[in-house]
Amino acid sequence: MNTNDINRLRVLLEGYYAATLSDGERAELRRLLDEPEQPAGFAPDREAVRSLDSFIPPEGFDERLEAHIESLAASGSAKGRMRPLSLRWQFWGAAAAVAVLLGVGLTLNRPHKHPSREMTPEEAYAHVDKALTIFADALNKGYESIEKAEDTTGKATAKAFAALSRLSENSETNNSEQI
Amino acid sequence: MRQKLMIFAIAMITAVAASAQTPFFKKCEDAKGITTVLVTKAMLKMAGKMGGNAQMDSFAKSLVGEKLDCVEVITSDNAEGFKFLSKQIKMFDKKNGYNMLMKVNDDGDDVKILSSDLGDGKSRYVVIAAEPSEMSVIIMEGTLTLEDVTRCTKK
Amino acid sequence: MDASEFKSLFLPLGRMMYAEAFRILGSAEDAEDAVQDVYTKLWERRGSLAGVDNPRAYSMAMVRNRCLVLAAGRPQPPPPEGATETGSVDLGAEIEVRDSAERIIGIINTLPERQRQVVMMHDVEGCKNSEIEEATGLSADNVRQLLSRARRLIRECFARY
Repeated sequence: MNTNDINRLRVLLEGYYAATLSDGERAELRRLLDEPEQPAGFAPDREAVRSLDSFIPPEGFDERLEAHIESLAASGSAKGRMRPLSLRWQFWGAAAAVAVLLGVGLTLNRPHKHPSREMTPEEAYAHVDKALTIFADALNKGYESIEKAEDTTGKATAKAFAALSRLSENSETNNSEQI
Repeated sequence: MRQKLMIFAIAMITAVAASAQTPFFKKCEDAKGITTVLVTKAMLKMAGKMGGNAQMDSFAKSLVGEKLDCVEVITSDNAEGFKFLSKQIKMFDKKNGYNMLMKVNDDGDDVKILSSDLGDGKSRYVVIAAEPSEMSVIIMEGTLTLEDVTRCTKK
Repeated sequence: MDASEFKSLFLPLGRMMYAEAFRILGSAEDAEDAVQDVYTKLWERRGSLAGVDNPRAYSMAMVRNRCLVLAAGRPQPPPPEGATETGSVDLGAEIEVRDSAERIIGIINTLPERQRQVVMMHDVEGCKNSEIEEATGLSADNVRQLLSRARRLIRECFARY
């Protein structure tokens, strides 16, 4: 990377962190950060920008998506038809989408209504698996709390007994001294 | 004739599916602001064989395919659904044969686990998980035990 | 609901859906496929979509559902020491991208709330400045300042580690 590019990179990074870059400048920044040989000092900048940019869809995403919808609309009649006797299967993407429960928070995925024929056994397995995970995590969390309470109670009881024993020993010693 | 047989077959499947539902599920199925999922025995059997992947715990697969008869998941989508579910979960009480197994409250997240004995070695477990504005009810029926379930925690 | 109504309601959500799919799947191709799958399903039930209160939340939930099913059905990648020559680089790169996506979300979640909200909406979900201003009630200048601070903090995290 030559000196001009390095200077340009510095200017663009300043703009990036000031959140003032235009789309064109942003693209130029990405291109410069993709250059193979850069001074080591830019590594955190490259990581930061690339990580955030990774959520940007690839070029042409919007066009492809729109084309996809157009093709669905064009071929539409078969897929759009309501089935007269459809089973009301419903499709749940797993309340355990993050399987986060109790201590991290429950993320409830929003299920959506879906004709039964489209739920595959693999999908059914994934949903039930997640449901079991929620159930298991809740159960284990409860057991852990019980064990913790027992442990705390047990330690407290042991301490109390130890203190009582000491008191009792002292009292015996005093009595024997008196005698 | 063929069409009539087809319609009859579909109706039978629908009837079987409908009879596999719990009363709670039937109440929630058409309610506004609620989404429901039903996985019946037939699908569970297939899921146990074909679901997961080769490296999946075989215990989990056998649990799904053999020990579960039915799985229902009912979730509130909005405030209306939450209110509806909050009323309906009252049916999981002693009068209706449910016993509270566990109640855990952790920083605003509330989880209750109840069970009901269905006879023939089968049980129904109900997990009610509630956050301040969302509620999920999971119902599982079958020969699975609590010990089976505790083995299902993902590490 | 016809195609143009459907597009006007759901097409603007594509970017956000992609970001969520990418976060879960860690692959640009898989994420785009997942989003297209979801649009197919949305199109199929366009007749009942009028009853959906919140199209954004509804679509995002569908994306999450779809991606989790895809992720659950994936074969587990072999451990690096056992990897074969062919394909190991791809799997390794995929794991790295997925880890990087998770890592940046983790960093973002440690930011002060306002900064977190703005950088999530702007850089991850691709919301326009006007959308961010409306959702947060902040001025354009405030949004820019919060985004600036968030990006600098993120850079610091990478510099530290």
